[in-house]
Amino acid sequence: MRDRPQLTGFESLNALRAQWLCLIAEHILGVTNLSVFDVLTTGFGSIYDHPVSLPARTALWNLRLMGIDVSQRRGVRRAVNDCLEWEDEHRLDPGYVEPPYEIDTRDPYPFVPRLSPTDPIISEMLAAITQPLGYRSRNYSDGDMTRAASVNLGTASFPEPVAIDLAALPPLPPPSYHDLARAPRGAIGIPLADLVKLAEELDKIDGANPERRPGNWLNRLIDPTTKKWKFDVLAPVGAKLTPQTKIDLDGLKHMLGLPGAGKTTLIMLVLMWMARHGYRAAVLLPSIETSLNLLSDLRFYGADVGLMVGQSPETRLNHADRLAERLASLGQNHGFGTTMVGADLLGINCPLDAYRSGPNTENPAFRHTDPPCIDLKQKKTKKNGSESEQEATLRCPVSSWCGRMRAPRQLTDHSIWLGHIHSSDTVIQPHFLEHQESIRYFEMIARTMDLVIVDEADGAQAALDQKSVVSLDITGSKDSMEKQIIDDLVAPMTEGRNFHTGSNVQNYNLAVTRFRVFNAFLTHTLQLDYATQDKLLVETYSGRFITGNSILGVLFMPENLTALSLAQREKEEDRVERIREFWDDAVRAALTEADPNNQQFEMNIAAVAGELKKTEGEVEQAARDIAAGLRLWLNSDEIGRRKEFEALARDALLNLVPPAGHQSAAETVQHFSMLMGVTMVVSEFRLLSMAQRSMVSEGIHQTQIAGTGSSADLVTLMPEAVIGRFSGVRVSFEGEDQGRKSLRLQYLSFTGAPRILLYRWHELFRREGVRQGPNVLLTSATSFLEQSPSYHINIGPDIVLRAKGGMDEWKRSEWHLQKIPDPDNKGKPIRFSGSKLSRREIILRHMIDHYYAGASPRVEKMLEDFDKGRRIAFVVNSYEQVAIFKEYLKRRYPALGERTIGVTKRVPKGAGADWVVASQVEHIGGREDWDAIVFPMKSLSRGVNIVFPSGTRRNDAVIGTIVFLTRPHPAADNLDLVTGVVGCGTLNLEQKVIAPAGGFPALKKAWESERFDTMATVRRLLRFPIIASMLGPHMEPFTADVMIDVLQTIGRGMRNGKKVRVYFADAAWAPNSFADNGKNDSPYTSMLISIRDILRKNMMSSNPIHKEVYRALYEPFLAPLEKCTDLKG
Amino acid sequence: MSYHDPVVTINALADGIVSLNDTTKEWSIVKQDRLMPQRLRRALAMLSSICLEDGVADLGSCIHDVLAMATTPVSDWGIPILADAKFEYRDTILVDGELGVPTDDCIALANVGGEVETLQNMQHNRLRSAVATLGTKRKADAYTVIREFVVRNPVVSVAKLKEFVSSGGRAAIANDIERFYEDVPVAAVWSDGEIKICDGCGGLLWPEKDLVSYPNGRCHLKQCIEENPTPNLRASLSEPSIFRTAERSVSAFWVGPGLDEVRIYDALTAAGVPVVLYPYEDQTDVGTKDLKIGIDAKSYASPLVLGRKLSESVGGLQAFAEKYLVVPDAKTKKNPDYVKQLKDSYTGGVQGINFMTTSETIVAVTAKHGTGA
Repeated sequence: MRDRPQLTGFESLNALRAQWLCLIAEHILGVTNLSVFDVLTTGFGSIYDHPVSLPARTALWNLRLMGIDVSQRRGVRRAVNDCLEWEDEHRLDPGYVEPPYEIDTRDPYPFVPRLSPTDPIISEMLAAITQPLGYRSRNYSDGDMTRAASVNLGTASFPEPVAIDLAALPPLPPPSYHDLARAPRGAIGIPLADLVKLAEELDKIDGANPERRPGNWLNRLIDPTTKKWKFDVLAPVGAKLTPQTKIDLDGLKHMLGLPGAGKTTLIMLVLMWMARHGYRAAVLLPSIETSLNLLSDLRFYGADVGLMVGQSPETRLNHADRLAERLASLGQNHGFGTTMVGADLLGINCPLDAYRSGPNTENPAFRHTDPPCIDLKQKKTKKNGSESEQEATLRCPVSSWCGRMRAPRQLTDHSIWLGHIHSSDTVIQPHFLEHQESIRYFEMIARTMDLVIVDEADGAQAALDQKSVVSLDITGSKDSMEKQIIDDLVAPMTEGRNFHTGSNVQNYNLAVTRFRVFNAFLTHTLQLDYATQDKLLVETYSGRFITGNSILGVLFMPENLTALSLAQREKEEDRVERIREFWDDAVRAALTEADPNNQQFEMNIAAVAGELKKTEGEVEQAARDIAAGLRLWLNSDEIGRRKEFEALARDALLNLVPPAGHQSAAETVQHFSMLMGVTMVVSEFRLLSMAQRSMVSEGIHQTQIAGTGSSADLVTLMPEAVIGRFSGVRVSFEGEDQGRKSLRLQYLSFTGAPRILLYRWHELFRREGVRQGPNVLLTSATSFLEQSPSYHINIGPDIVLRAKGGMDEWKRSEWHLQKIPDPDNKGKPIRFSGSKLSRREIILRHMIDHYYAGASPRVEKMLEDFDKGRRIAFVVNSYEQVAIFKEYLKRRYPALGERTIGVTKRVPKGAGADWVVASQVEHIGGREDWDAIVFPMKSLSRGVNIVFPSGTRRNDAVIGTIVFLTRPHPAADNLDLVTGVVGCGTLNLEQKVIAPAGGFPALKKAWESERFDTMATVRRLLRFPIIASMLGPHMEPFTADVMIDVLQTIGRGMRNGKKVRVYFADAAWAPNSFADNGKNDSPYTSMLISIRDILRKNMMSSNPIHKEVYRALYEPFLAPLEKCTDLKG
Repeated sequence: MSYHDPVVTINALADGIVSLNDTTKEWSIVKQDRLMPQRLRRALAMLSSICLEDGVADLGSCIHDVLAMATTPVSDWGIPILADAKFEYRDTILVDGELGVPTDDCIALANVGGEVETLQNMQHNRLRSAVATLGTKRKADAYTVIREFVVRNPVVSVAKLKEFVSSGGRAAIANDIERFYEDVPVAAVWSDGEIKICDGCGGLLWPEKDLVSYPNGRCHLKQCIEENPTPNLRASLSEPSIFRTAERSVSAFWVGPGLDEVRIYDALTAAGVPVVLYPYEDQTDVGTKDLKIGIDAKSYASPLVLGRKLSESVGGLQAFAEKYLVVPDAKTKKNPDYVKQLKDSYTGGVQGINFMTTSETIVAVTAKHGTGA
């Protein structure tokens, strides 16, 4: 977080933010109004670097760092209004001085300077906004070690301070600090010959340590017979991929390598090379578990390596839990007496407990899981040396030594950092920064590291995308916004803190009151519905990202959209979008203008009228009627009357647009209530969120109420999501209270575009004058698939690792459709996906019977008839299905069941070795007590491999046969495809080169065009739960995303270039081919055909490098797919 | 000396490991989550403090590392003080690495109890060994005098303590006696820099945020609280550094129970009954040297638990002809049937025990044996 320069002479930054815009407009951009600032504060690289904004680049960059972003709808107008309101409010204050600019509230917001351009105030402000902003320092004290400190072992409301006897502590080591002055050293060239030498050295170290499993490093690089490299390190030269003799790391690079092609080996050796040459590197891995594995190796070979890991109590406990599960899997002792390298970095216990002073050492219990690292208190001292009543907050002095802080402390002087991509968005503890700058790891990496490696970069990208949606509980939980508002505003006011007379606080209070009314209405509506037999609303909306648009779709679109042609569907979408524009504007008018005579509509009435085939007068009258109904509703204090007013608004809407014919009148009434509730809650929520920043400065809230998502620091350093802060709600019913479920209402909002970090990291601070950033290497086996919005990385590829001869056993891979006759539907093959939920368990059991029944069950044969010695993987969609699978095996086929390992989130009580959690999976490679494993497709994180630990098959995949029992499909509430689409659209604009000649209009056009396209896709994807058959043109990106997960799963059987056998056992994979009905499958009916077509298309790419890369990456998959038995299409 | 005694630390760790084993043996695994036993967490913190004071890295922050380390002898942990040739537990192994369970040694150590119980055990052994060095003739009297001093002076000035330890032939064991005391804890010092003394027991009154209910702070000795829920202030003392207070296990196990013991002793002595405190090195709490009268004071919360405990053994009381099992008066305020329930639940073989409250005992023994009787 940066220091925010204050307007000279003014304290209120946020309310007067438009003044900064005027300053930049007048003195840097040379424009006379503020209308361009919506696009200029979006934060896109393509916009910063465009010739028209280039002169103001640092200033615009700084605006975002200061939290000034007016890119949202009506953002400029709101900023201008806030400014004028502030002026009105303070005009009569003693010593009032007018802000430097007078701004007109009308679009395009022209302004007039009140000061001369040479006024010192202007010069001072201009200097402040055009300089790089410093980091905000935190102000923890270091504490007086001769006096006691105290820790609160109670709660905020019921504190129980307990003294900590600091004077009893022996002298502590001096604190370690990060070196913020270190700068990256620039481009790095690593000769491959160096890596060979290094491999030999590592083998020597192994030789001296026979008790440890050797790495056989040289053998991994060089074929002992031919003495040649086992894989090529290729780079595009002209139109060909050409073998290289060194690895060039300069700026942003994308490295691709098939599983087993040497990627992991290369990363290991590169890191050792870096460590030996005094470089610093950060490596982002798929999980903390994989980080610990690599840490163990690097530590053993002498590299000074540290673990970058999130430090919040919950994050630490989660990692500690996974570590515990992993240790428990190493033996039969429940982890009692077992540890591993790196466990010390995930320690939880705090030593301060030993220094507590008091009559009782047990009560209250010490906060070991949430220790007082940054909330120890110590009385301040007066000038005369006595203690005052005021307390200072300390950064715990023991942090220079304690085990709990070992991981973050080691990062101060360790040259290689390992961690998960999310760990990099952790703020560095003040203990390890001399001046306590508020800086995050990703920023420290960008400023000081020489190299960043993002392994499984496509997975990292998807993980970042998931953080682009912020979720916040509105009501229905202890952490909900409503609860916090009550605690911070309502309760204090009722208890007497009613002296806030500022109109902004009063406005906020009014908005809060209304917000609670809307919450109560929506909650009541849904609870009433939950109590009914049909649960219409709950069934329709539960778990989904709901927007006004999606409810309008339910109200006004035909039931069977799939029956419509694509063109008709598009038309329907356009119609609903117009209805949304109309409806939102009518609601906005009711909520923001109490006097109907003053209300002004912003919608394009002519366009709405055209779309709905009504006159403009009819449209405007309907909007007025809706607004009038809602105003009455707002003023009504009796439920019965409210229903009448709701009916007025409803009738006005439905008279203008008749509802879809398939709904009963009663259903329409319910959906309308939902529409009203959601629209009002979302719009009031937005108002409250925007007001909260100034409520923090008023002291109402301690901090802004924030949800989960990326940090505000990351958001401000990245562009906004191209669709802006698109938002909706999600409802779910949870918990039980006297037999009734509680409704949890969440607000979901796209906030920022964290994936851009991968593409900006190498030059993160370029726009504030930092020239040299780290080199960044994005690497994966599956990060190059241009149809995939979530996983494709559209850089390079710059380095391709391709196995040479001898690693091509994959050519003998086999893919088959496996038709399992459905005993309940004679003559038909079993179909799991798409069948009724109530039948799925039965279907799964039939499938299990198919493999496990009989005197010589298929599962036993499958162990024999394909690469004997390798095992079988059954892939399902969820942990629940794993549980069903295992439970059925236990009952029907207990002997084989014990030899089938189930992967679960939590091992059931009393379970034996036939249950493991995901983090234990890599350890089963060396076990002999199993034949098969069943797991949900995405449960095994990347980098977790099941390989033979020793013998002639050392490092080969243990899994030889993979059976997809179900066709993978995201859950109804899964937003991955949507976040991928938004991330992809945002990246497009980030990288776009906008025509330099077009001026500001070209910027706006580029922004609006990308926004419009992405928004249209998002709205359509959110219309219904994602159902393959309803995706139309979005089938291809949907398939491409799912395909990456499928190929990653199949890749588990291909480590070291091994062949694999794959069975697709669910008829949903290719319904026509399974049915043998003479019809071919198409990309719309079969995901396999769709996958095949995508791969075929890519292999015919007109770009010769891409073509070659696609061939290297995907031929091992496409070749057996082309020959897949029985697949027709 | 280290802030935490290594013996107490290893004992507390053993106790914590056994309680962890109790929670994990039912098919759960070793985790550092919120369910980890608090006493184990405290023991880990004590281990950390020993590491800090010995100048080595923190070995106590991660339970997994500690349990793995505990499969080796304590002397191999890499903490110098635990490897010292004089350290009595240096060869102890706490965890059986093969079976993943606490060793017999660990269980035996845990049976002593946790941190405070171990401390009290140590203090009692220290007192016994110290007085033993004074010779057979003097040891019983010395025992009595030292314990009585501590009970009557839970907070004492350094000067008075020095005077006590250096007189009466106790100089040779001065160090041992001084270890029944510690510096006044920082938490007991009030914001004005003073310490306050409880009128009920002479111990510390600890600062309390609820100044309305506890204007003088709170006494934390449960026997004192039972008699005086809102303590009165005996004195405020400036310069806490020139005072010492009874070490917390001594407070809990000697001073607390000692309140009634001293009260009985004082009353009976005044009445002319020739009793002494802790006769024959704590054979009982108050008794005559001729073993005619023996009085044992107990302050269990539950009469049934006390009854069961006594049924197993009445301890040294058995040696006295007239046996009094005494409970504080306050017990009958809360539960008027306390004494009856105690009697009813006692099923032990030793007969003729008088179950009474403190006041009743004073009246009864005075009536029977007092010089005015």
